[in-house]
Amino acid sequence: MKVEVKLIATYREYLPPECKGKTMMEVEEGTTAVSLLTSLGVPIEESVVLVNGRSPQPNEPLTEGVTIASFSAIAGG
Amino acid sequence: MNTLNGWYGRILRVNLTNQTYKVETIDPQTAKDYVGGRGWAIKYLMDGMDPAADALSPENMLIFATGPLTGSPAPTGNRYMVVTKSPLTGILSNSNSGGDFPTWMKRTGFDMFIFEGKAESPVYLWINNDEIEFRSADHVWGAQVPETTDTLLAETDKKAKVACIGPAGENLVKSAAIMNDKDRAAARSGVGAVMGSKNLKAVVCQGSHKIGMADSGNMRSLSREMHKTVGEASKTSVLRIYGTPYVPDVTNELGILPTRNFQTGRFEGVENINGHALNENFLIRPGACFKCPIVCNRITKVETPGYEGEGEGPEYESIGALGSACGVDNLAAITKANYYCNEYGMDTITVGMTIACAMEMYEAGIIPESDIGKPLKFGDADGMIEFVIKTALREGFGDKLAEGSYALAESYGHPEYSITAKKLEFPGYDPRGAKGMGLLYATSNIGASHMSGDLAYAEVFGTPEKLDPLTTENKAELIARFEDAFTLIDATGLCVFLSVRYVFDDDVMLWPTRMTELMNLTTGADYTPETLLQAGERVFNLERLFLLKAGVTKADDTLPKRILEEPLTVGPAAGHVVELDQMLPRFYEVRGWNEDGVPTPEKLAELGLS
Repeated sequence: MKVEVKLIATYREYLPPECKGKTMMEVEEGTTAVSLLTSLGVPIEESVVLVNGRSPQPNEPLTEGVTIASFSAIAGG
Repeated sequence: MNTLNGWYGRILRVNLTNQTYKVETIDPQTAKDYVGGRGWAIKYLMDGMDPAADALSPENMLIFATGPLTGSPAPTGNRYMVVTKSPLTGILSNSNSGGDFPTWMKRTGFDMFIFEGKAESPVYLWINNDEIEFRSADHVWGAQVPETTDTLLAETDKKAKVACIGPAGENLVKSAAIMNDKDRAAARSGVGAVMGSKNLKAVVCQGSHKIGMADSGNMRSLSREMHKTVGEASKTSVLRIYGTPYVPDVTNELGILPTRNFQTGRFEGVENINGHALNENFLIRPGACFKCPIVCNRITKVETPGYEGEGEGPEYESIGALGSACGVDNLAAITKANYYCNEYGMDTITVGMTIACAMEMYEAGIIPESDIGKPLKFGDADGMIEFVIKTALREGFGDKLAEGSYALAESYGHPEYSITAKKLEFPGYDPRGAKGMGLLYATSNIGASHMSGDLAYAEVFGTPEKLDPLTTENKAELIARFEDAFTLIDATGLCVFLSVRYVFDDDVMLWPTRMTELMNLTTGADYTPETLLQAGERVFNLERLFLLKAGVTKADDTLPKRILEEPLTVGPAAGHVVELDQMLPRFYEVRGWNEDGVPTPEKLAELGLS
């Protein structure tokens, strides 16, 4: 199924430059946001992970058309 | 004579009416109990003025306050507070700034300056070690911030540092800021108008005093270690690489980016106004406040025809207020508007959000075009810029904008269009998608402010842990803790950007372990994390007493109708409002206040405030 991946700010580097931080990806049923991001090299322990803008449950499988976003859990503005 | 460390225990009290001054000492217990900065300032404000006094009258006290860690070796030990009664809100102001000036202020040998009365004609203060001079400012009255700074440095000491107002402060614009080092701002609450009302154009500081330290050896080595750790980490961190402009993508994803006066939380133009757009188009390099290892400032230049300029910023809040809130996705225009705010000396948040409010009321047919002089719709970048300037000059419709969004909306019979709490415009987080922030906005002692207890660190940014922004459970306890912790940071003189990650314990939410170490090595005052956090609580409660005496009641601990009753319609927070009534009673309880939001006698006794 197809999902959208958005990597924000410094996390753009985990996708090819021409993506500018955004891409559609084809994933297998049962894939979780964390496993997908990990496969891209995102350091999960220091990241915020969002699925359609909300924190996913642990082991929650992705569904068709969702947007997975991630950024460094540093801070502030 | 006090032999304090970290603090000098010397306060300069200036009588602008008579052009005289006094040097006062502070007793060590008071110094310790109120920590410094924001804490000392509210103590002196409560003891020295009637909170019901008019903010633009000579009776208002204008206080510049450093903390014991300002001018210390600690990384980011370089902040100061401007504390006074606000002419915009009628309550307290707690404006904070960095740059270089705070360290130079500490080098004068004073912890705090208190300005009282009103000068007969424009003056500036030249404070050079122990020489304090009142000088005429006639020749710079009317000048913008950069020219004022350069002129005054040339006639005092080119290595001194300047805090000053621009034309906006002189014109008593309610969003006027006090600028230092040209583009750092003590911005919110119209503190610049208070300075202008006193005919005080600038304060210039130079000196060679150094603070004593209780254990200078260990303080220096701990500080060195922190500088190294923070410096290393920041090389790859978002704050250095993108600055706060990385935030629009985050808040947009969460559906809380203020868009068109908080009509919605997702902005279709966000990719044109994010950190990538800034870096690609206008960033010269990151910049730093004095000796800061984080390096979050944005040194920028715009060459786009019609918007040429250079300076610092825009920061996230400015991108929100002058950009998405106004429906503007032209980053050159936003950056130029930001430069104007720095040059005229104004708070980008109140300025931008007030224009956004006017745009919505114009589109709704409430403000007639004849009042404005032309159409003013969302998305009008040049109109936004024009009215930023007119606000500063109180020209035409700018005279109404200069009063802030609440007065503007109320004058047209529709105060509900002003998205404010206690008349201070919301910053860049729509609380319908970050409900703890909603409770914060409703209970902060300066009105809607993210800096009063920024739970967005947890609800939005995942530090120290990611909280669900859409629930109300436990938010009362967390907001009270964050408020006390951020009050403490404002009292010490450290920057929030260091503090949230490096001076609190990760295991217990905002427990000030390392902060205690830094404070004790510097002051020798034997704080524990408990007594430090309690000092934050003490200051917060004393501020609440100021508000109550200024006329605030529990009816003011509220949010606009839109935020309480009109759900967001897109994004992850679609369908949500702020259920303030589910959080506020518990907040009063947690704080030890009665159900009218008044601190109980028991709580006051516990804090030594009886």
